Amino acid sequence: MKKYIYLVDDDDNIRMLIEYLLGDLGFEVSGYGTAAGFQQGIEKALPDLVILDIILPDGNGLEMCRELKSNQATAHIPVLLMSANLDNKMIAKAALADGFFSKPFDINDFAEKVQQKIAAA
Amino acid sequence: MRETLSPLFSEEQIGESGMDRLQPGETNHWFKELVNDSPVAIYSCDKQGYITFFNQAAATLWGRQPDCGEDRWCGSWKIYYPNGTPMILDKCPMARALIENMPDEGEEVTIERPDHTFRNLLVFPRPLLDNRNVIVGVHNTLVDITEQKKGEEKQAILSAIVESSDDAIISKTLEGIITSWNAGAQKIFGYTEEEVLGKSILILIPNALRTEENSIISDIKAGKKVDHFHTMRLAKSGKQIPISLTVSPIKDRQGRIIGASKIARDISERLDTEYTIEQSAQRLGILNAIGKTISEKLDGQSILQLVTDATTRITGADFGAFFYNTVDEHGDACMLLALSGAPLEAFEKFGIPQNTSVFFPAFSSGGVARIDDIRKDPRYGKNAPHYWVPKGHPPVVSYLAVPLIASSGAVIGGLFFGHPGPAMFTAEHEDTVVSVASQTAVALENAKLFDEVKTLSAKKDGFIALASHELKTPLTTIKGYLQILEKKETETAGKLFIERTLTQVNKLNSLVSDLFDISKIEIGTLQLYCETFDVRELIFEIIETFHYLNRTHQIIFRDPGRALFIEADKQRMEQVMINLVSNAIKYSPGANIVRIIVEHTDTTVTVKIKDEGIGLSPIQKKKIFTRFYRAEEASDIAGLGLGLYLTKEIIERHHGTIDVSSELGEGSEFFFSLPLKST
Repeated sequence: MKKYIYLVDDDDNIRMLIEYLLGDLGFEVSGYGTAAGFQQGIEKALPDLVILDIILPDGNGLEMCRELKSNQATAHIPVLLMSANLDNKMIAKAALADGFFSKPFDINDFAEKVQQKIAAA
Repeated sequence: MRETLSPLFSEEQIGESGMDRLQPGETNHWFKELVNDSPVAIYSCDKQGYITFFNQAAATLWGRQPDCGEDRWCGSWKIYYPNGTPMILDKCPMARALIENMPDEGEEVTIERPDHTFRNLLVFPRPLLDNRNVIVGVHNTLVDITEQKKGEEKQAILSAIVESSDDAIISKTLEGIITSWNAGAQKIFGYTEEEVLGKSILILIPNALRTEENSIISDIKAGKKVDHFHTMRLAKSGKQIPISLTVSPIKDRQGRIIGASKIARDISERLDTEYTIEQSAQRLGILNAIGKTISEKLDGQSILQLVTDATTRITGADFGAFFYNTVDEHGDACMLLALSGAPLEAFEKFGIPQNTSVFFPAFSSGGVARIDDIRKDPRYGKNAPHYWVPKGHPPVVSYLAVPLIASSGAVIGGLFFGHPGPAMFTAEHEDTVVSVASQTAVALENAKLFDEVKTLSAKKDGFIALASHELKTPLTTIKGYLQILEKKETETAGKLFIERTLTQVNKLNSLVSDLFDISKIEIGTLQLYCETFDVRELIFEIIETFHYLNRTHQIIFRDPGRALFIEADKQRMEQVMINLVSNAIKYSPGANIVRIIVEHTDTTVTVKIKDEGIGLSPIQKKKIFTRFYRAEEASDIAGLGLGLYLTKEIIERHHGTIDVSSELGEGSEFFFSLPLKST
């Protein structure tokens, strides 16, 4: 069964890169450039994993993560956070994220982490 | 002596003296005893002047035993006139009495004894006549007045001292009646001797201090001395004079206290001098403190408050204020910035002082205004709508205004001081405030420059933070696609090129990261996420990382064999180690070994990273931890020179220290120490 991943990042190139990378591994990736878009998506159907950039034009990945984790319906979904600022690694932990990637990341580590989290879920 | 005596007094002579009731032999013997034992010196000579007799008292007075029948006229060793001129023996009073047949009444002579001591004598020589009134000799009585004379001299010296003293020297009875009064007393208190003798000492004591006299007298009665007692006394003019008083008991021969002597010194001048010195010292102290503080402070508001407070204190003003010479939106106001000695509310409601004729000169021309009584100033009272000092305004009579002038000549603002009393501000106050004002103007300009620099620097750091964040986004994509390409590439050359590109991308990324970290340090947002871990664990991980990354150098580490726990941000400590080990490798191109040495005490762990590289000169060592510094000889080695600066910042934020020991060409050893986590 195909696994669904929701990806939120306002940078098109990064979305394309990750969509390609994860699509290659057999995942179905839905990319969103805004927090609002993601909100609409998640209301329609729940994914198997969420990848969030922290700084978004209309929201904050950390808060979105905390919200997902505090909601009964979504708390079980693994969330991975990404940021160009390494300091966010600890904050991500506090936001109950299941993993953190500092940009730029190593695609091998990235793919491995995503597969691992989906398998565990 | 008595044995060698020749008969001196004939029986007849004694009979004539009215002693005829005694038997002749008895009389002579009795007289001999009397004369011999008399405490008064007595001697006699014959007609030729040869000494025929002297008693014990005479021998004692002369200090020698003259030879009877040998020594003439006088038994003393030497004899002088009272003025010290030697006296010829034949001209001595004894000789004259005999020759002139005249008794001499109490002439003074000075004799010298063989031991060179001198005695002053009064001599009473009288001719000795026989029954027929023929002179047969002469006798002499010597009265020793040496002690008396000494006493007189002493008395004369003492009187001269008392009279010539600038201090008031007064004696009084125990009842406080003045018994003596010297010229000094007259000079200090203004009364003549005639005016005060017999009067009570209370005329000199201010009403408020009358009880003082009682306690002084009771001390004196108890035989105690009152020493350097500082008090006030009243002069004839009614002026109170500060004096230093010493009062001592006067005793009679029997040691009974019969009065008191007091010495009063006018210390008003001394007090004035002391006051002036103290004032100057205080002023200097304040000036120094101001100078030091304002040169250290870099924000205008606190400089101005400090200066306003200090100058208000120095001038003794009731209040002081600083106004900026700026025009507000109404076009005519200057802004009150600092106030001392009065609450801000006292000024707020009066609005602007700049447009008043009194205030205006300080701002327009930059001139100093010091006015003893502002109410008498022609410009005063022209300020609409208040005209005089507004109701509720702290009262001002003495007024001092000193402008603060920038190096450009522009008036930055002014210090204004007020006091309700007239003529409170002196030229000295003015000078002091002027010098403070000029220092302040410089400090304010510095503060302004510093502010500008700070703003620019903050802007720059903010920009770096933003830029480095933005740079990471394209780097992420570049690196991701490169890695995908690397996987797909089958051609060896292509793979190699991609691999190299990736290395450069990683390098670029770490440079951007460094820049970002630096900006965070500068802004103060570098966060530490501390956990407890073993330093050795960190080192093992680092060694493993370098095992994959570097093929030129071997990293040698000897495990100290025990866990060394520190509480630190592990990621930051990794950054420190990577930095130091990379540097060791980078700057030792000719070597193939880097050593990591761990040492520890009970409280700290020290990690040393030692290379066999190019080393550092003393100048380089000094600068190595500063921002953007790089070893100049290593210009072919890449980097921005941020690494060691960042490393030092990270170590210091962990309450650690970092340093380097190095010799040019001998390699370097960087070592940092961190506190061990207490268990």
